[in-house]
Amino acid sequence: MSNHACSEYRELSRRGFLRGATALVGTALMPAWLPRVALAADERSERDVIVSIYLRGGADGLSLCVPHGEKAYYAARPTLAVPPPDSKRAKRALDLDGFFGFPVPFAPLVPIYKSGELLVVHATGAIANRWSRSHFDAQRWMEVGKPSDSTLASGWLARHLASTAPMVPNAALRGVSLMPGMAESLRQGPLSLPVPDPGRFAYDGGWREIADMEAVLKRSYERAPDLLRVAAEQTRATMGLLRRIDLPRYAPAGGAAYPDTDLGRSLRAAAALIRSEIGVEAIAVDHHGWDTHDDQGTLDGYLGQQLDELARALAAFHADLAGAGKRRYVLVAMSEFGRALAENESHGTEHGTGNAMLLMGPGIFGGRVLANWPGLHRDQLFERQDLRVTTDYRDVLAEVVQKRLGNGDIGAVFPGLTPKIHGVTR
Amino acid sequence: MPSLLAPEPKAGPQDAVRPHVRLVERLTYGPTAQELAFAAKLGPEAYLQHQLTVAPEVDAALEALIAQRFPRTTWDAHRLQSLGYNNESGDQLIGATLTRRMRSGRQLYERAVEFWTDHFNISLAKTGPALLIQHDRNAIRKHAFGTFPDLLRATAQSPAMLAYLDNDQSNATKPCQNYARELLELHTVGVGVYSQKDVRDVARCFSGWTFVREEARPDFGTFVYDPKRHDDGEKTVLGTAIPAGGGQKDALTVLDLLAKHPRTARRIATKIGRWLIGEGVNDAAVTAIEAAYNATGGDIRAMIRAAVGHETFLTAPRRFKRPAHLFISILRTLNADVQNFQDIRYGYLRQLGHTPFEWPLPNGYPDTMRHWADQMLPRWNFGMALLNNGVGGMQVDFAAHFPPPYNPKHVVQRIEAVLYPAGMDPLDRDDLLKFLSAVPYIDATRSRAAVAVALGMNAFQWY
Repeated sequence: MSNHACSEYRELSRRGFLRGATALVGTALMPAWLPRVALAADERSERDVIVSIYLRGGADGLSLCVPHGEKAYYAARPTLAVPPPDSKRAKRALDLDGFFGFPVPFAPLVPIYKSGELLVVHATGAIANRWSRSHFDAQRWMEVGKPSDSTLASGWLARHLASTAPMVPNAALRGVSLMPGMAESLRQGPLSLPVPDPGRFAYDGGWREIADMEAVLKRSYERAPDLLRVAAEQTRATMGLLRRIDLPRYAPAGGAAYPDTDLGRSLRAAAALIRSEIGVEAIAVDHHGWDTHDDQGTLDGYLGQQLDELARALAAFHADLAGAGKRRYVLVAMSEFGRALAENESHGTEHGTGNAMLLMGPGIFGGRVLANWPGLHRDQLFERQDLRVTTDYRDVLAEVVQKRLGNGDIGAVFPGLTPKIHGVTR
Repeated sequence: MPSLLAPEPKAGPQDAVRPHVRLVERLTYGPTAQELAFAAKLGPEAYLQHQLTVAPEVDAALEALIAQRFPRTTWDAHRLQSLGYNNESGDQLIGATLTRRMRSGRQLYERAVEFWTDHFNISLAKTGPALLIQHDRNAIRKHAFGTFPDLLRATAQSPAMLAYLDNDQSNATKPCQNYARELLELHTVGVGVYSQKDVRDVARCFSGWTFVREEARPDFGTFVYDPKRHDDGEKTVLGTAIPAGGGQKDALTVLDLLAKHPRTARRIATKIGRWLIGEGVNDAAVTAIEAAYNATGGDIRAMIRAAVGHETFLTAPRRFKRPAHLFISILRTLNADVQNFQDIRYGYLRQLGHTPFEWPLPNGYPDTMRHWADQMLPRWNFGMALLNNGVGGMQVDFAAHFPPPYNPKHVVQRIEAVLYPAGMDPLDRDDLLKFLSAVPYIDATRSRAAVAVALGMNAFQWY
């Protein structure tokens, strides 16, 4: 566990802020995300807040980051391949390093890449590919973080939270699953809740009498067993905290324009949670719709839209936090597997293996595509079909957990892993 | 993984439990005044007997309603599969399940169906509704009140189970160990009894156990033994030699072995003890249930009898309601009119992670209080929304249960009679009286608010 060398002022201010939060319910206070110069002491904190985006369905890594230097890529995807940078076609790959490129919809990410805060790790995924290509199993194993264990119900982010002290002392909420239920990666995490809409974590029913009703509930839980009493208190504290964030009136900084989609709204909420500094340190977000079996439409069609939405949401998130001067965050995006090299008869792709991961943040060693690239010739493919995995995704996450989240206890987070450092962080 | 904050759970609130009250609270999905009166009239022994033996015909009208409202639950796998990917079939399966829990006259049977569904967990997301609807009907519901060996065999041959744990693709060259491992670890003997070689040999025994997977075939989803996939060599499982050439019988031999194994009896007895008596079920009670297993060849009702008949059944602390149980108990107690459970499936139960058939792991929904005690808001909110007509697809006839006059004393009397027919904690009663007396004139709205609060209070979370 790291020495969390917070300044005494920051410590006292935060404790005061939190203790006041529940008492001041209903009082008109400045929303916490308005800039407070005196508390902009991010640089002194040693730990990032992590946002983990899960791209559900098996995102096509060969489209997320195009190996335009590979002839085999073009041979296998006559209609789906993204044209190389020197093509005369209007929509072509945006070159990154002479071999890899971004698809055109990822244009908003190019400046972030060039500034060094966006990293692509390619040919990554699960080394121990026990689950063949089932969404269900692959997603679960990846979020649990330990392949082959069918009884481990906790997620890797949950175990990270459980093996570290709260970033903010007395925090009522450390992990947030921005979706209708608990994300698998956060399952069993301490002080973690599903909060599908932080702007509406409140009592249902529109009761005028709600204050009196809450008082009766509160008294009844004071007589409950400890576990329940504490849960009730935490719930009320969380409701007060989230009410103060005032998400509906949240104003992104840096001119950030989030797309008006579920993903856009999730990342906007994530940014608000981070900027409010209430103690949330792990945020899980889902982006659905990546299972492109038919009519993939990499540039103009369906996948093009997915890529566009993801890029605009990430760019907005980046601009928002940069504009607010928040540098202590890291974002990771992953998917359960990539997709097969060859396109199928329906101009789509089947489930594959190796994939690309995206990492973004001031602490990420970006501006490059990190890959132990195995090649795409027939004998280089996994099961003669897929991009091979040469970098275990857990290595990547373990390095982030250790170097950016201040948690040296990798054995707790990824049981059974002997991690290799690949240099994804600065 | 223990939460950094959560301490060890203490015993829940206890009252001087009258036997018929404890029976109704434990054997049903929520006591109603009528059910308590019925149990009081019969007496505990006759009431237990009733819950164990009441004929399915008592639900004739309910089953007709279910067939009409959730028709897909009566279809065969081929017809269901031909619909392609959809949410509606799953909605209907879940709707039928929750409707039965709410309204069946065979409450203990429905509790047992839930118990075995958890024990032999299969995830809807992976398996799909076509196979799962068939499985629910032909394996779980058929044998929930039968014998454990019959139930075990039915699940082993169920295409849903074969698909969920990948045995359908298992063959002699590459026998898949998923099902074999969970069969040993979760369904029967448990860890510490078998070796990795046992897992491999059980997998070999089950190679060839598959089902018709071509969707176009009218017999899609029926069990099939494929001898071409079977590893017919000799095997050894838990010390028993299985000679070569056994074919399909290899797996049946394994199932028989496991059903008769003393560790299986102990594990099942422990689970049943935890289910009916509590997390702290003592050895003596488990031994009594285990003895019933051994004396009857695994008769499930005999085991239930042994659990309910044990002295600790009456004295055990109250149990924390898991989310689905809580919501069903609210709907039962208010005799709600329910057209669909969509808001529960996609809202409250999803939030709490307890939607039927949606637990992803083979071990089934946890039965520990610690797992379920971390989220309170959806528990409070369901009642809060329901009492303000804010839950889609269901309504409560407030005036029928809570007629005027709306004075504090009368409203609290009605709350006690309807929601807490076994009696209210005097402190809770006082707090509600104070809530209702805090304004000079109370109307139906404040009374509704009192009912909503009464459903969210600590005392309502236990049974």
